Amino acid sequence: MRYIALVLLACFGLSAQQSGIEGIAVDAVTRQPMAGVHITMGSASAVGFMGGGDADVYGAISRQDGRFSVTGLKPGIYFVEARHNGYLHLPPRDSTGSEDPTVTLKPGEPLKDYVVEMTPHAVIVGHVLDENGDPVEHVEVAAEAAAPGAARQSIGMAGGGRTDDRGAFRIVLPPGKFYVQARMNRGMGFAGGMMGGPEIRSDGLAPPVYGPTFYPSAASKDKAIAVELAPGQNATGIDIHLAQQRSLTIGGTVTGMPAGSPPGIPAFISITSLGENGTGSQSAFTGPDGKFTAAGLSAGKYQLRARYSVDGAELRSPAVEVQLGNANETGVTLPLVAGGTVSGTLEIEGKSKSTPAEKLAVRLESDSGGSVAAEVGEDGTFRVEKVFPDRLRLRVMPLPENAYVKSVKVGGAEATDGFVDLSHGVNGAAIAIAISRNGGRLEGKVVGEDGNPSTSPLALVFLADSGFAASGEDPDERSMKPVEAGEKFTYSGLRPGKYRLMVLDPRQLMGGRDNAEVLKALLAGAPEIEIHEGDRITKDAKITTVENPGAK
Amino acid sequence: MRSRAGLLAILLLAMPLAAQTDGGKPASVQGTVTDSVTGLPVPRAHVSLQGTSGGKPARYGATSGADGKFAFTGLTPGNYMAQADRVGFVRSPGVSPRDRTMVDVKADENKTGIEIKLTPTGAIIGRVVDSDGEPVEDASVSAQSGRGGGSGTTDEKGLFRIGGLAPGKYSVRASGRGDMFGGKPEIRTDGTTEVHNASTYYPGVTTQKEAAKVDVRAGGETSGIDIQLARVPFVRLGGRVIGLPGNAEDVSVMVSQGNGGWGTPLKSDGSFELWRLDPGKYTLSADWAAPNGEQVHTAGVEVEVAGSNIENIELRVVADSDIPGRLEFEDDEAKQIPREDGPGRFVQERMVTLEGVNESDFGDSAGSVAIDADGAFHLKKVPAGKYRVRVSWGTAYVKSMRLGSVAIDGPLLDLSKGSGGADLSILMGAANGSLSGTVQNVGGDAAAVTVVLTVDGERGLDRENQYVEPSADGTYSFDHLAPGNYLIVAVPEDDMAIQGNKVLGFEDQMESVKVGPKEKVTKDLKLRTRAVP
Repeated sequence: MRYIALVLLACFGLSAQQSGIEGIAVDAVTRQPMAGVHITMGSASAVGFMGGGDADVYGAISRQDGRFSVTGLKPGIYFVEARHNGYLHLPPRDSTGSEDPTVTLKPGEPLKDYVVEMTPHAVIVGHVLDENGDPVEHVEVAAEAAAPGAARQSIGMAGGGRTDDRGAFRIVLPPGKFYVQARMNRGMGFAGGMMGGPEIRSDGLAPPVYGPTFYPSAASKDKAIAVELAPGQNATGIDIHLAQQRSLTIGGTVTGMPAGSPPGIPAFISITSLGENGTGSQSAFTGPDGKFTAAGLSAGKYQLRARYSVDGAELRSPAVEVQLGNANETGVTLPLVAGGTVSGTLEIEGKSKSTPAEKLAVRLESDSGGSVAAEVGEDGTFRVEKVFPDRLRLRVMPLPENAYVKSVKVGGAEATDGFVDLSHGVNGAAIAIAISRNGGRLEGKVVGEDGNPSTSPLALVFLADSGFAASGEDPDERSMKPVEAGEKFTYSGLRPGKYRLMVLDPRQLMGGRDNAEVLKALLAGAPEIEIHEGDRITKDAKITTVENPGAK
Repeated sequence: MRSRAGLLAILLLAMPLAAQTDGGKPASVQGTVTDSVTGLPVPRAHVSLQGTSGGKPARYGATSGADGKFAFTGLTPGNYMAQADRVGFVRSPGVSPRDRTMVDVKADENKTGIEIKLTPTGAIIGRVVDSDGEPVEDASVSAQSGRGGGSGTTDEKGLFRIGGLAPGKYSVRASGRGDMFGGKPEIRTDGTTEVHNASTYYPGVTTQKEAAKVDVRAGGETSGIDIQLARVPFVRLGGRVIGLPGNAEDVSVMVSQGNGGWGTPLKSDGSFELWRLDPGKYTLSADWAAPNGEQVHTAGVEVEVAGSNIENIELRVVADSDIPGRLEFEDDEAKQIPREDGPGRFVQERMVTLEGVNESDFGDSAGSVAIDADGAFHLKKVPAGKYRVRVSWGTAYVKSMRLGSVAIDGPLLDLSKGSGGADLSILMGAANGSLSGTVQNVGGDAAAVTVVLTVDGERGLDRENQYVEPSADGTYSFDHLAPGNYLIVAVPEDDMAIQGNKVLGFEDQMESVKVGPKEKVTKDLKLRTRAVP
């Protein structure tokens, strides 16, 4: 949820009076002043992620006595960061126990004696080993807090690493209690070997398959041992012995290879693992008979797709899901088909006479990452080519002002949630899209708990429809808006339906907790609003306080 | 395609020839995996036999025991490549044939005594300090050689270790954390100044050319590789994007160098500024999303960052070009399009491709289109930029072109201002020259040598380069060469860093060679050693 941190807006004081900050950097454990700490401050009204160009960054270096100063700052809210070898800057906690990495500078009132606490970082060093005690390289190792609030996260420090040629890893962390997990990188797998199958073995063994393993050798957290780190502690010998899993295979046939294709060119099969065992994909190739075997897989759910291209023509199969339990799966069929054409009409209801001739486009997106698009002609028809059977998300771009996609029908049946299911075939598919320009509009001001204009200069407004709460997606730019105090928030082009509206102070969301979960829970309890077509609703929204389980 | 692909094609696709006749009683193979430095057995190595048997590909696997011994049984007769791999050793099969073991197995044969040698990897250890001599924590350090490389990160003492490296000579480069994504210099009010450290090569230089090579031995750790980051001034690049369509959204200015790049958002007034670029050459372009969701970008503008600001850079939006065209052939020989134009390389179809050629480019190509039976083709939506025209078979070359009324010598097409609606005609000549000879003073290890052939002159792009390994007797040859001026040199394979058409460290030792049409040129070469900097 770091993007929330970066998309804050601040309210600048109207007064021309300057402000500043003066203080001391100290070691959080010994309380001794620290020299050479590099302090940086940036205004909380960030301009995008890239950091290039616009945003002013102020800096200072603490002196021998630990003191530093920055003068000539405009009043407002600033992020404060600090760096020194061997230390982490953990944001101080405010009165409610939440971490707050910001300072508020008031006009004409520079901050004095501001303490920047530097915490000596801790390190976990260990190895990832296989069942013979041999090192395993290129394994991703990550540390996670053993319980909410069991560790304080610092924005920007990575909590993981990859093992090297000695199987060794080194993770820099704040003090706290952590589980350490080796995550097997499935993307490295070449499950099917070259041309036709996995290798043939006469010793009766299969190459081992490992699942994600917690220190010291646990497949799940309940058997894992948490590593407790004091500030500055080097925990060594944290060796993870990988837990072996049963090595399974998925086998089958790719059908539909065109007759007369040049021999020796195989179809390519991608095997993507779905679910908590990690995502990542492996690949396999067909043999001359169109058969394939993907080996070295652990139990879990997989999605298989086949692709074949020759002479510029491409054939693909729809995605097939396979659930591997404790036995091999055989007989999976992946039928290749050529890309087809989807035709359709797009109608804009309530079209006003003076509509600018804006070219609309219809786009079909697959969750394997590809997409195809076509422009909508003046007569409202469109033809999308090279569409392969799949479950596709339909988008209309750009949507005219205050418009929303009112209905999508495929062959007369209503498609739900913006997805068009063409997995059973594309040719002859006809899509009818109706766009309404009469979306709902919602605007309002942010108010505090007592109903008066909010005293907090920063606010994040969330508007989620009923589909969002069920989908488990993270909120994105479409549903979340940052708002400055005194400004209004507006939403337009809202699809009629029920929504939940909520406002949060973004500073309460930082601190590395699982914000997606917290947000979902809060949204479920937020006030509900019903929006009808053409509604123009004005509604002020109150800031919700976030309970902090880690508060001390 | 030629150039580096040629080398890979030769090595990877030089699979053993088709097998013995079928009729096989199963055969077996036994042997040992040993450490090439200590001679000791290597336990628990994954051993494989890969090859063809009866015309079909076959792959067998086994694991070596605690004594390094392995056994395969139930093999079908055939010709196989035996290889082994295990963590801590150079990944099989390695680049040269000397790392591979070929095993020919007949029906009912029990072959014993096959020895597979594995080369242990080495490591580089050192320390990164900044321009003030202070250790740098969390700096990225990478080691690169012609054969590959690795990377590591420094701890709070500035110490790093890069392991898993194949023996060879490496250039080592360190970058401070957060240096790549530039913001304006910090505003300091306490009398201190912000220092900007560039990515620096061991021991403390900013260009790869000046970098000292670090020697990594098999199974050894080379320590003391300390790098002091060089301080460079903050340089500002500023300019504007001109001619953006009104519906362009999320416009950013992309900076790229070689394979890497990053971007900065365009300001609302159409201007941009970039800071903190290390000295070197970069390509800038503007990038945005069109309303139909496609990404569009302008042609690249090249800049060189030295010590001073570069202002008033203009990135112009030029509409894509639509280019109808036709291939013409100088003579009947040029018209021949073989089905197979190299060992194992099949020409699948006739296509013409435009490859982006800005030196520090995204490596974009404007795509390939098919050429029909009459030699006609139609390139559509070609973004403005500079391109190298290429066809999909290697026995002919682009001799000259005509874009509308403008004659162009060679294959470089400059469309930075668009094509102006002109037609393109391409004249193909037969690439029928060849160059061969013997490499002397090879010392019996021909496999450790590479002969590098590059195109001389301003058309010397690294993708034109060709590489070949001499045979055991030291002979080499390059076929299907277009007439022209070339540079050639024989260098140790593990010291081959290429920049454009030059081998770094050997620039002055590259010799000129001219190859005429249909000419078979002979040239003997001496194996060169690096001029010590």
